[in-house]
Amino acid sequence: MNCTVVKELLSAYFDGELGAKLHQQVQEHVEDCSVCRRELEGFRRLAQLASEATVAPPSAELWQRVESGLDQDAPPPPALRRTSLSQLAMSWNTRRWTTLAALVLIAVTVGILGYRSMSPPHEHHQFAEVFAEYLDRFKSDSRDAQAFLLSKYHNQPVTPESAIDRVGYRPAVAGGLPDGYSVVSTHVVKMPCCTCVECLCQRADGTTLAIFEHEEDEPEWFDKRPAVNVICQSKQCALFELPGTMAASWKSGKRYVTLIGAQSVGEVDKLVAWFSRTSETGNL
Amino acid sequence: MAELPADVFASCRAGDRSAQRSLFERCLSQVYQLMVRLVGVQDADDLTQQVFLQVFRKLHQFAEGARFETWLYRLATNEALQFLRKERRWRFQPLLVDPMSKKPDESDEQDHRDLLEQALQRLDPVLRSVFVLKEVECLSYQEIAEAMNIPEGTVGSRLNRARRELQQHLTDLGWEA
Ligand SMILES: [Zn+2]
Repeated sequence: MNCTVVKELLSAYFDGELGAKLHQQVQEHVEDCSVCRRELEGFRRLAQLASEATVAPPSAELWQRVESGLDQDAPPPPALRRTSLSQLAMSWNTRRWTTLAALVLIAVTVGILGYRSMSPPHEHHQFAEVFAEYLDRFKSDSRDAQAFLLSKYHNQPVTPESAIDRVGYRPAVAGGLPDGYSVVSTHVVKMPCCTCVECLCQRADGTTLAIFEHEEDEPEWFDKRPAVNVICQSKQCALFELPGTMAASWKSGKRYVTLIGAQSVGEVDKLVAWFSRTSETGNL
Repeated sequence: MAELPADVFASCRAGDRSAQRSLFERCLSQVYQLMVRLVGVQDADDLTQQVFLQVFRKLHQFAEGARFETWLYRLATNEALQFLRKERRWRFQPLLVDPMSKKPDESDEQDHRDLLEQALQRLDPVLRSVFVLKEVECLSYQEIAEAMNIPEGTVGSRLNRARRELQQHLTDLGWEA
């Protein structure tokens, strides 16, 4: 066995992951070869360093933090469903709230929308499950979540401009996105509820946000998630908590806009303003 | 990790807080240690919290009979890598500091921790994960492959690279073993 092969196998040898025969051969080489022996010694010192370096214990309130996150997940009993926007907002992610000003701007009315009134047909029930999974996966990997959703329904990648041929209107994103956002991909997706335009966008920091434009209000997208109804830019807007992030839906011009993966109420407010300017200038 | 009682997952799924807490306590030090090594001590609390929230939210996806630890490592590593992908742009550039600017530390142990942490942060996140899962969490190659969703056959070569690059970074930082 020569050095090149041994170098390739050295970690596996060191970690005891080689079969007996290969292990024997590497061992024989290392006994004779000072270069490979030195490298092996380096691995040993590294392992020692890693085992000696200790980690200080985590914050003592970690369980309380996990528990309060879990409390936010569980649908509260009906009597407790009236939550103040600020309480709910702070629980989403305190660190995201750059200023309280964004809240003050929009916290005009707070209430829980009366979603989920009808029992949906079977197809819609399945769809609710698919969409729920999409929402759950969005924060940890939005591209993976998007791929999952697209794998379930007919869809067509389009340029924002060419979406018009498929949905019969010019989506707002066709005119470009607000400053600081760029398009990752745009798809026309035929879901059981409606055919919509889905645009995955990227912020300057590389994080992502999905924008859906659709012709009907689609409460079943959020199924059992409680909505908080707020007024953003004088529009009624439903906010939903998702794992680690949030969603928002509102009527803009003749259509509806739904954001998945919003970072803050402030961002929702900013985008509601942008969409309403876009719709006023005739794009919607 | 010691064996968990068979019904702990069912109880956790049902929202039983005391079962959730015992699962949390059973796994906390492993998850936290992993996070300190992968994302650094300043974000380890937040990421650990996030991992446990995901554990309880996604526990219905965990197939009973599979090894919980593997599933947990997979979820935790994935969470850390997602975080690093997003943060890298702004967080990792300032870390490429002049090694000479490093202040001498008070104790040897402190010194080791800082050196290892700095050297790890210079390593590509995927290589860092492979190294930490091996040397800190003591997983087998098969377990590392499952946790990181990479072919088992590539674990050894990634570890070769991780170890060689890590030694180079440590040397650059003034490490004398
Ligand atoms: Zn050799």
